[in-house]
This record gives sequence, structure tokens and C-alpha cells, in this order.
Amino acid sequence: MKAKTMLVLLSTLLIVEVTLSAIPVYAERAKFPRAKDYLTSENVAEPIFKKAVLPDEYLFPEGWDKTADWEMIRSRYGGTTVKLLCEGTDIEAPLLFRDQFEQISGMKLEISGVPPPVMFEKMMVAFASGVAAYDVVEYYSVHMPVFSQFFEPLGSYIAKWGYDWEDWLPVWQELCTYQGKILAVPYDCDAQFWLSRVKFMNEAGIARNPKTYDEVVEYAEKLVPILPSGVYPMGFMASRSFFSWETFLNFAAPFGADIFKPGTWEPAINSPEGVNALKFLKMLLDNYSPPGCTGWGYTEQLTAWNAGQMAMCIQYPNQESYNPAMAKIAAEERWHSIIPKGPGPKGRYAPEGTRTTSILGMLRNSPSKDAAFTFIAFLSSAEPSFIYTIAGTGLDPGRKSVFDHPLTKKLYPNYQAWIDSADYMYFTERMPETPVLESIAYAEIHDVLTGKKEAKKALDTIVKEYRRILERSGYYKPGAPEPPIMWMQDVLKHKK
Amino acid sequence: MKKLDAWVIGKFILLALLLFVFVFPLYWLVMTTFKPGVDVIEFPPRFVPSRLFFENYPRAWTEYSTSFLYRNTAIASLVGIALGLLIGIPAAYSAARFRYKGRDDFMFFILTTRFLPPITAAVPLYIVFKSVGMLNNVFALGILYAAMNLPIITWVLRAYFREIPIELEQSYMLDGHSRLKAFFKIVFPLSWPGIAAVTMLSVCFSWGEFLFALLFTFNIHAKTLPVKVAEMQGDIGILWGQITVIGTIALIPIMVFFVIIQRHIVRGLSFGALK
Amino acid sequence: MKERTRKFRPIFLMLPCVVFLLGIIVYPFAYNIYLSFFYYPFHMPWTRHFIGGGNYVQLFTDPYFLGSLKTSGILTGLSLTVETFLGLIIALLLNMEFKGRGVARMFFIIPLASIPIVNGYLFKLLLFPGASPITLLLMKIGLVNNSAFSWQAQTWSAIAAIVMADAWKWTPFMALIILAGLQAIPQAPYELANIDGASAWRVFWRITLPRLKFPLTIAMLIRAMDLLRVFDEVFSLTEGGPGSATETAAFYIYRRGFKTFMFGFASAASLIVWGIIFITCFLIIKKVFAEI
Repeated sequence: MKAKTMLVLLSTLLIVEVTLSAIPVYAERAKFPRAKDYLTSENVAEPIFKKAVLPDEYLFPEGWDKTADWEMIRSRYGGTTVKLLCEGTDIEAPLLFRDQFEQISGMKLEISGVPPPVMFEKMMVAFASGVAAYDVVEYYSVHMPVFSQFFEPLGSYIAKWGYDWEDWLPVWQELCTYQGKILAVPYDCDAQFWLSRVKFMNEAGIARNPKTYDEVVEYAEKLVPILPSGVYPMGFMASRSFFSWETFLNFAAPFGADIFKPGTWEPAINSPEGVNALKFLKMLLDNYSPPGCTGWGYTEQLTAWNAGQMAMCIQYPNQESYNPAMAKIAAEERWHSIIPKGPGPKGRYAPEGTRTTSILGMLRNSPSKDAAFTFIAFLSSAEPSFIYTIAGTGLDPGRKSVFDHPLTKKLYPNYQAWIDSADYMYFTERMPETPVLESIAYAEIHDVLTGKKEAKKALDTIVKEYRRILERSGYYKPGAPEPPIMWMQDVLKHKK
Repeated sequence: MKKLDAWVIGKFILLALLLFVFVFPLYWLVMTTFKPGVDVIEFPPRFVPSRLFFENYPRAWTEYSTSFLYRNTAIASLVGIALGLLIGIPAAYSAARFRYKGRDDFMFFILTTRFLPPITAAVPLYIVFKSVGMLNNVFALGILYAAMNLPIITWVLRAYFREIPIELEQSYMLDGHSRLKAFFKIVFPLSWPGIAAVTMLSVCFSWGEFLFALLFTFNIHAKTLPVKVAEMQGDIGILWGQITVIGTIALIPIMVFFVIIQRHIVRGLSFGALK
Repeated sequence: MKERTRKFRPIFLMLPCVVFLLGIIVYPFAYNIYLSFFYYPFHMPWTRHFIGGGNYVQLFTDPYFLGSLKTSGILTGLSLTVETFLGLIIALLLNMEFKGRGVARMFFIIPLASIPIVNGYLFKLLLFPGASPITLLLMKIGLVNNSAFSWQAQTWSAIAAIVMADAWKWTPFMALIILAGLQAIPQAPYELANIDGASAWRVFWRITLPRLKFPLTIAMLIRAMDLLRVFDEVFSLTEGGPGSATETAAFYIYRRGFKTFMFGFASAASLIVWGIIFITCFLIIKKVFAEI
């Protein structure tokens, strides 16, 4: 009897839940995206939500989403379908705004999600055949040079539609420009910071985040005695994929190494600074990190971080760590700061992490380019950008106006680290050959980190292979493209 | 008799142990569907969840259009099996009963179609499908699955048909019936277990096929369950709850199918049972 | 008696199948052969050019590729051994008459029905360093001593993880086929052996095993074909690591051919792998089925 009642109870519960979840919530909503409408206690992590009260007014009344001529857009493009391709769970943000966009513009929005590990392949196969299945694609910026031939330059659209391109921080403008043409609009502006959990730092008598890598070791030593069993001083993404390369660059660039010698196409990662950086990273992995790191991609490291397995780490900013439904450490206070400097006179601030920034591009063979652009402009406007940042969809802002807003300072934990890092970012190689280069680079780095190879030998191999590939592609002949500027500081100097 | 007792007990203990080893991951799968995201990865892990969480199932149903996914996966698998059987049974039969030039070569050729790593066939096949307008189409996917199932279908059924005594057919045909009728009246019913067995194997392959489903479908009209699973990973992290829910509910139709067919399958894979 | 008016050619029963498969496979195959002789970065069409055997030379001098072939071989051999051995034991056990045999069988079959990509995530979960119930269980038996043991970090454990995931799904397949084979063996020889007083081991070796040769070979053939191309488990569990210890041929093709858009290179590698599988299966079939 008892089991039967339980079963009946459970099924009733299930039916009730399903019914309830299907009832849409009708609330009085402003015409254009308004922070207060979207940022509720439901989608903002509790520790963040209670930090500030959202006003009734629009936070960014001058944004493109509000000032565009929607009447004209609706009359001209109403009824068009805009097809968006984006990666995995990143569909949360466009999904959030889909209804409102469709209402304001009269267009229809179709969103397709693709699993991130195979996003690249999916894009490749989709483009290989020239099928115009999509209008807008959200993808990693590092692939822009690879796919550049498929994307429409946006310069003319930006001018025509009065889009506030200059509001984006210089580093993102730089990232979305290739060979002088603007090929995309920034969307999820990634960067990597040094994070630490305050309660352990305080317990170990540390007053702030490490500024140099020497301090990292010093602090790690202080942390070891006080950390409970199962918690390690730090942990990094070092899996056999671009993550190990990216993590390595977060050490190499601050140590003073360069992927290419500045102003040339000469691979230079095997400089003494590079070798030291690699050895240093390996040392940190061996001595202060959980043994699983060499298998950690982004999701594994994030999972471990959220479950409390480390005291410090390098990571992208992420709102979901503040969400009690997703992270055990949600309520803990954390420090965020710029990636530490390397030792010695060549040491500098040079954080990496822009590689996984995602951008919105418009396909050249899209049948409805203007309509597609209005969607791009809408989704990347200031207020939506603010909203999907705070809402914990895993996306991050890159606009000056968003960073200047007082509420951002209160609600976005990474604020200061961001401001500090923006002008010091280091770029990875951005060229069509990047996939090949990286597949070699990360395999070698991973071999070193798993103890199968010597640091110098691996880096020498990387340099040799890079030279061979660049040579084959004609980078050492006259008429080759301009060598890239890899460090934001140099970019800014160059602009002056 | 006494010696038998100790031996038998030992065997049962071994069986129980193996059963535990094989059921344990399944238990973990189902148990994870009832854990809130935070508890999925715990240091140290708990064998029984500390709290139960039922949100995952209704969410899967409403947010992820599971009914569509089921439909698509089912259609693709069914087409894969039906077409496979339709084409494969005659081929297997002819190889089992007759000798003709090229018979063994053809059979070997059929086998070799399974040698190519799927990913290398992906791009050219994509181009082919696109040119005949069959992308994002579950039936087209089913055709592809039929091709992937044919090696198994033909080879296993050939071995099975061969075991059916030819005398049965011959005596039936002596009564004046055609070969075709002989097939349907004699061979087909007798080989039902074998057919059930290859159907099960084909279901296993087609239901979980991932690569081609991923590359050849765009939207919910044609997406299958495995593709949806792969989408549960993004910037937010891996949605363990959703993945395991889909994994669990995807198992249910197959398990039901198995239970029904179970009795036939074992007989179906026995080569020589009819002797 | 009716006269048959049309001559029946059995080959017509075979042709639809062959033609169907030819249609589907011929273009991919030809495409790959063609591409394998080119330097063919998909995204840089202006650099594509004919290089004859260049891809092949690069492959045969690439230690990572040759290593991946070796790894594929090792993984295939290991998995096959484990699955056959365990499958045999399970089949023998399930062959016994006991109440609840059907239920036991059903539980053993379930892994076969699972979706491979879900299994990838499932085992990731089951082996997550520090949160792994498997590690915990092994600790209780004393095989491992650190709960944060990382399966991907050592070569032997990474290989073990992949074999584990594969065996979980496919041992039931072997067990099923062997079980069916066992049930087909008539009782007579056993009764005779019983009368003669032969030991259990001899009975098994002399009576049971020979009659299992045929089903076993087919099952092993099917598994070997699939194992030599194994990809899913490597992709979700180890990504070819540590170092390149678990990089199978298929994964190498994926990493160096596909992710880099180097189609020509990928095609050449795939054809080499295809060739190896071809030769292997050909030899097995020739040897075993020669008697048939």
C-alpha cells in the first residue's frame, strides 16, 4: 500500500510541476530591453542580486537598441527569418531576447545550438558546401581568420545603421578586425583573471592577490599548511587541446616571451623566457595542483572550482560560480585580479584569454543581410550586453559604456580586474594557419606537462614546425601580410 | 553432490559481482538525474544522494522538446532497420543458399564499407546529401544508417540462414510452391530469432549514432537524441542533469524493446540451434 | 507440376544491396583517394596544390601517426581480450539454469543499449579526480591510495579508462553471442564426458570451446572493426592524453586532419587506416572461414 501511495504522490507531483512550468509569466514589460525586466531573482545569482536595486528606467537609453528606427525596420524587414548558429549553451542569451526582438522588429528568429567541442567541425562542414543555412554565426574569435572568406565585412553596415562601434574597448575592436576589415561584432568578451577564495587567503595571512609569479609560489607555500584535505592551492586547464596552449601563454607572455618576435614572423616561443615559463608551469602543476589538471578543459576546471577543489586559479570570469544551484562556493567572497607578472626585467602584465571570445559574424551568402545586421546590432547593444552579463548566462561585457555604469561596478565581480587587464591583453596567433599551428603546439606542451618531454625540446619543435608551416604558406616571401602586433600595449603605442 | 554445492555458490557470487560491476554505472546514471547540479560532483562522492531533485525531468520535457527528439531518433532508426532488412535479407539469403560468381567478393565488399572511419566520409557525404536536398531530413539519415547496418545484417543473417536445413525448403517446393513462397512460409518464420537479433544490434548502433546526426541536422525537425546530449555543454559548464536525463529516458524505449524481444534474441544468435 | 518460366538468378538478390552500398560509399571513397594526393587546406583554397605522395610521406615519418597506429592496435587487443574473456565468463554463468535468469540477462544487456556519447560523459563523471566513486571503491580494496587519483594523468590508467568504458558497453555483446553459441551445443557430448568423469576444465576446453569458434570469430571480427576506429571514448575521456598515449588512429585523423582543415592529409591517413583494417579482416576471414 505504502509504495502505491508514494507512486501516486510522485506522479501527481510530476504532473503538477510540468503543468506549472508550462504557464508563461506575463509581466508588464518595457518596449525595449530593460535591465529590470530581465534581471530577476530567478536568473541572477543570489549573492549578486542583493547587492543593488535595479531602477525602473533604461540603464542605457542611448543604446542602439533604443534609438534605431524600428518603424522603418519593421516595415522593410518584417516577416524575414534570421537564422542564428551558436555554440551549446550560449543560446541562453539570444533566447532571452528572442521574444522581444521578434516583437520590436517583426522578424522571426531561429536559433541553432551546436556543441562547443564540435562547433568548429559543424561550421566547417556547413561552409564546405556553401549551404546558406544561417545568417548570423556566433563563434570563437580565433577562428575568424580561418573563416574570413565566408564572412561579410561590416564596416559599411556599421556606418549605414549608425551602430556605436567605438563604444567597444580597443582590444575588442582589434580582435574583430582582420586585414583591415571589421568582420564581426564582439559578443562574449573573454579574458582570463587570477581568482582566489578570500577565506583561505585570509587564513593564510595573505592580504591581496599575487602580483607576480614569484608571489604565487610564496602564497602557495603559505596556503599548503592551512588548506583542508582535498583542497589544493591552485589548478589550471592543461588538457590536450588548446587549453594547455592557452594556459601556457598566460605564463609565457607575462614572463616576457613572444609567439613571434615583435615586428616579424619569426617564431620565438623557445626563448629563455618561454622555456622558464613552461618549466614554471609544470612545477606548479606538479607541486600545488590536483593531479587531474592535465585532463582539465574549461568545463572540468570550472566544475572543480565550483566544487571547491582549489584556493586559487586562472579562469574566465563566470557568473555561474555565484549561483548556489551550480556552485558549492557560491556564497564565498573572491578576489579577481590581472594575471601576475613574470619575474625579472622582461616580466610584464600580458594576460591571455581573448582566444575564446565569441563574436557575431554575418555570412556572406546570407539572403537577408540588413535584417541580419539589425539583429546583430540589437543583441550586442549596451543594455542587452549588461543584462546577459549579470544574468549569469556565462557571457561578459566589452563596452566602455557598460563598464562606466555605476551598477556594473556593484554587480560585476570582475570589474576591477577587467579594467586593469583590458589594455594589457596578449593575443594568440590569428591567421588561417592557426588550427594547424595550435594542433602542434598544444600536443607538445601537453607532452611537457605530463612529463613526457623536456621543455626546451618541445618549444624548439614548436618553433621548427611553425617556421615550416609559415614558410610553406609564403610568409617569408615578399608580399606576405604584415606581422601582427600581439600585445595590446604595443597596439596602443602604434595607434598613437 | 556436496562438491557441486561449493562450486555453485562460487559461481553465483561471481555472477553477483559481475552484475554489480555492470549495473553500477547505470545506477550512477539514473541517480545523477535526481541530483541538483551542485551535488553532481562532490568531494568525496556519495553513493546515495543526500537530497533528491526532480526538476530535471520536467525541464527536459518542456525546454528540450524531448518528444521531437524521440520522434526523430525513432524514425531514423526505424528507417535504418527496415531498409536494412529489406535489402539485407535477400542478399544474406542468396549468399547462404547459392554459389555464384562473386558471391564471397560481394560479401567481403559489404563488410569493407564498415572500415572507413566515419569522419572521413562526412564531408563528401554532406556534399552529396546537400546536392539532393536531403539535409536536415530524418529519412535521409535513416538511409545512411541502413548502409551502416547492412554489413552486420548481411553477415549475421547469412550465417543464420545457412543453418536452416535446406531440406525443409526443398520438400516444400516439391509440393509445387515457388521459391519465394518457400522463403516466406518456411525460412522466414524459422529465422525470426535471427532477424530479431540483428534488429536489436541495428537498433543499438542507430539509436546512439552521433557524428552524422550532428553534422547533417540543423534544427528540431531532424535532430536526434544524441545530438541534443552534446549540446548540453557550453560556457556554463556541463549540464550533467540534462545529459543524464536524456541518457536515461533514451534507454527506456530500447529496454522495453529488449524485454519483448529478449527471448528470441538468444536463440537468434545461436548458430546451429536448429540442427 | 508447374514449369518455372523464368530462370532464377540468385545474384539478383544480392545486387540491390551491393548497388545501394556502392552508391553511398563510392563517392566518399573516391573523394578521399583524390584528396589524399593534394595539399588541401580547406579554408585556404588559394594554397591547394597537387603533391603526389607528399601526404603519405609526411604520415609515415610522423612519430605521432605511427604511434597512433600502435595505440589503436594496443587498445583493440586489450579491449578485445577483456571483452572476450569477461563475455565468456558471463555467458557461462548465464547459461546456468536458475530463477531470475531472464532478469539477470536483461540487466546485462542494458549497457549495450546506451548511447555512446552519454557514456562518454557518464564515465567522465565516474572517473572525475577527487569525486570518483570508482576510485573510492578501488581505494577500499587497496588498489589505489589517493582519492584525487587522476585517470587521465598516467598512461596505464588512461588506457584502462578507455578499455573500461568500451568494455562496459560491449562485453554484453560478446556475452550474448557466446551465450547463444553455448545454447546451441547439444547435450550429448556433455553427458558422455560426465560418464567418463572428465574434469570441468577439460570439458570446457575440449567440448565447449571448439563449438564456440564460429560465433566467437564473428563477434570478435565485428568488434575488431569497430575498435580499430574507436573515437568516442578517446574524445570524451582522454583527448589522446597523457601526452599522446591514448591517441588512436581515428583521433589523430580528427586532431591533425579535421580540426586543422587539412583534408588532403586527413584523407591520406584515413586510407592508410582503412588499408590496415582491410588487411587484418581479410586475413582473419581467410583463415577462419576457409573451412566453411
